[in-house]
Amino acid sequence: MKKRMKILLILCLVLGVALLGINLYTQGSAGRIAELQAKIAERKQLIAQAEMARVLGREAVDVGELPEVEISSADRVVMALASFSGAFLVLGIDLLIGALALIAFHLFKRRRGERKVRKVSSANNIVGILIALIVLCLDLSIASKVFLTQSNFLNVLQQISINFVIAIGMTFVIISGGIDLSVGSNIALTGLLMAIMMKNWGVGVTWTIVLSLLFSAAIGLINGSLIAFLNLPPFIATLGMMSIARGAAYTVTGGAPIYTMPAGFTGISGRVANVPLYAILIMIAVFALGWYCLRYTKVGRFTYAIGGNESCAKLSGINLSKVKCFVYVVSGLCCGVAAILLTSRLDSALPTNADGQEMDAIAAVVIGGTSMKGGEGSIIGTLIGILIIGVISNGLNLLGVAQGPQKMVKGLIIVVAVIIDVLRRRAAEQSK
Amino acid sequence: MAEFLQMRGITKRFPGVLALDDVHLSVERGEVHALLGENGAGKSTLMKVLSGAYHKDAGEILIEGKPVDIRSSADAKKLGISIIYQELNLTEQLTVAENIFMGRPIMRNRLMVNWRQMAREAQKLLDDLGIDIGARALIRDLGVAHKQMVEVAKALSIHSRILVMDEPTAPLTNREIDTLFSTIRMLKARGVAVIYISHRLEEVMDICDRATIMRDGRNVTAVNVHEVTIDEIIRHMVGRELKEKFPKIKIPLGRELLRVEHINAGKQVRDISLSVRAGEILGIAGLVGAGRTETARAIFGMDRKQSGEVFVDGKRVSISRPLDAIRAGLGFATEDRKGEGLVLTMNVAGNITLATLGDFAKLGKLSLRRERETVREYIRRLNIKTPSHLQLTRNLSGGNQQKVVLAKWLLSKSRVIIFDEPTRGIDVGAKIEVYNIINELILAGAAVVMISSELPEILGMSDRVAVMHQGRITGILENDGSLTQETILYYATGGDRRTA
Repeated sequence: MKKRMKILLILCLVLGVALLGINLYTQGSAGRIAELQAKIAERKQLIAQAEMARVLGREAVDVGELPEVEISSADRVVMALASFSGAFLVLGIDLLIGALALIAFHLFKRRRGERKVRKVSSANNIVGILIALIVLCLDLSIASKVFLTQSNFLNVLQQISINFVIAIGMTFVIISGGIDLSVGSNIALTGLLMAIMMKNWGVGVTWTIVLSLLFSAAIGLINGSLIAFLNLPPFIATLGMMSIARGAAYTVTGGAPIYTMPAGFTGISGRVANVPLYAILIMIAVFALGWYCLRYTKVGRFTYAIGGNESCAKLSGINLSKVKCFVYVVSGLCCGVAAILLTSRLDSALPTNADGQEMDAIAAVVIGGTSMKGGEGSIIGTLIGILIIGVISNGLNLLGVAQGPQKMVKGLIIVVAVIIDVLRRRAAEQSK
Repeated sequence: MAEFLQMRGITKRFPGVLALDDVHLSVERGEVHALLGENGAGKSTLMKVLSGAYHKDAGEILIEGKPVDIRSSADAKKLGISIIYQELNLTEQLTVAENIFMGRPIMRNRLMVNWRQMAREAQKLLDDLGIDIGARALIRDLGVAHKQMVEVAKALSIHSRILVMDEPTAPLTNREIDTLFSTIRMLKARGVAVIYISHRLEEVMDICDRATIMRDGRNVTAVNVHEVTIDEIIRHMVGRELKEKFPKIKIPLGRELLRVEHINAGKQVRDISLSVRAGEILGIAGLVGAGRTETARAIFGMDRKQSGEVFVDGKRVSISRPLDAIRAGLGFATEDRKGEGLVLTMNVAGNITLATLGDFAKLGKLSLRRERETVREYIRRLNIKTPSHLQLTRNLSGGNQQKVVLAKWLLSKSRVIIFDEPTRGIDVGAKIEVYNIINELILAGAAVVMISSELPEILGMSDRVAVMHQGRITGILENDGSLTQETILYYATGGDRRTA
């Protein structure tokens, strides 16, 4: 076993045991902490009452005479740790599983020896993130009793549905070597358009859906045209579109939200026998179409080609402009589908809807092993990436982690995913 | 006396392959040592072990008799080992001086760079090497030959004692090669040990003292270059006799398949007119920068034409992008394999079918089965060494990558194919395979335009030779057996005898 591996293994073991220890310790002193916290709360309440009495000019207890709650410094530490106790438990278990995986990998490698030939690197990649997803689910089911229940599973599906649809479109864009920052704004604007059509113009649900899909695709087409015909960098073109569409969303309603959609429309996100059936069917359809398109169509193959090497693609007679427009239209269309899901679920359209959605989508794609340089990636990878992000936010919610730390954890996971990708690529270079 | 550099029993395993098996190499100071072998013989791997890019699994490296441990390129640099790769490692937007002192600028104090002194020292290095470049020139304004010289100067500036040159002459013209060789001789006089990797054996005979020949990751032999013939070296390299270097076939010519008239495109393509008939190979010779590649690109629609007409099979066609050219029945195998020839992130199958993907689609659905069968057939026919049709092309060796590019255009059933430097950087055995592929094409009634910097190749394979100089065709010569390299050079230098 290599030295670096050994250090990593020991680190995993020590940290894992330590974190679990802390968790157990805080659990053990949970009663005392609760007592202390109750005392603190009581004192705060008394102080507040005194204050109130003083303001109202009544006779009040002298605050100075209230006894200080005695907290030893050890207890302070325990209380601070206790607020992270859930995270510690998960992390500790993760690290231990990591250590086991390292040992298993080592034994496996020694048994297989030199025979193993890497044939398709992308498959390896997917196996890696799939294992990560499984481990994640495993320790969340240990950490939370709710995680493995059917209703939670359905919740996760509903929660990820928006990001799911967008990330599929984003996969096309990123494989082609581009990026689409305008997806969040596109959703908001298309959502408002749908609401206006149904509420103010009295357009039927079916026509609303058809027209708004055309509209969101048109936004994609504008992105694509700017990039394909005027050679704007995708980052700039879609950044501009992001701002324009968001601004338009605020402008059309003067910033006001639109509430209550027709029942036929909200039914899309409704539940059949407690299952968000239509949302799930839509996700399956989008996934299947995306997968089929990348694998079995010319334009899908060309998406990989222009992302991998644009000059070679051009020289091979590929119409670059057409393919580029295509990928941004796909992304735009996916925004339209996401707007339908979101607006029907919220039963309202807000100009602030899906703010920052592009980041979650890009994160899912990147975690799924698609290269930001373009040319490499897969829909299946993205699927796993979406699930990882979805399961993480669900898990953190169940564990009662606040929004702030949640965002930090998500950011960390994205960075770690990319670091792993970079290291893997370097290793592949080495053994070429 | 102990040899200056010794590599002993070097072994390197990759998953599934033994890339180096007990390889030895020893080089003395002031020696130019050739490292020879076909593609995939392990030359590059060995050099990567030397430069710290790869870690060896077994064996030892000694410098001046002392074992050294090279774990990174920084270690190699400290020991005075420099490598000049085929793909030069320079920053285009910076000046010559900045590139030479990259990463260790001469400082005025702790914060400020002493630009003036840096330029002065760079200029001195260049002057000592007898290179006529200004230290303040931008790299992107230099030709390939000059860029290479900047790399040499850079290597010298860090006091390299061992300099590895990987195919340094591939992009150079004959005159530039002469300059390179005089530079190499100067390095030799200074006691630098030069390891010289090349597929051009004539040059090896010219410049090298000894040669180590490798095959399939093993040493075959080490020879004193002056005591052997080229044929013997080739025999060692390929392990079999190669009957003829250029398997030229002459067949009766058919209709005129491609005619271009008065094409102008930028500075490099001036009033070009040429034609080629079915069954014919038209060679295009010229010095680097003569506009040969640019002409091909203009014909093919990669670059914009200002004027001129293209006729395919007698019919005038309008070509404003490569797609038009492909539809008209043209193919263009570019010289820049990695830059334009291949999508390195795609697999062999994807690359081979890239220009003809429509043929594998029925009602918009690709038939992966039919694609696989076709690709496998081409892998067999062209003898492409790859574990599977799903192997990524970036994992193939240079010669096999080139064959993938050729396969793409063979598959396109183009009637006119332009080959730009079809055998650059590939080994002797693969070269002959490439020539045979070209022969197959003309036998099938195609017309071939072959751009090449290697005059023996031009003379060995072409029926006619168009010679270019500064964007113009200075002569179209019949290759009837009496044509010589000197005549071609005469036209390639603009017909001016003093410079020829």
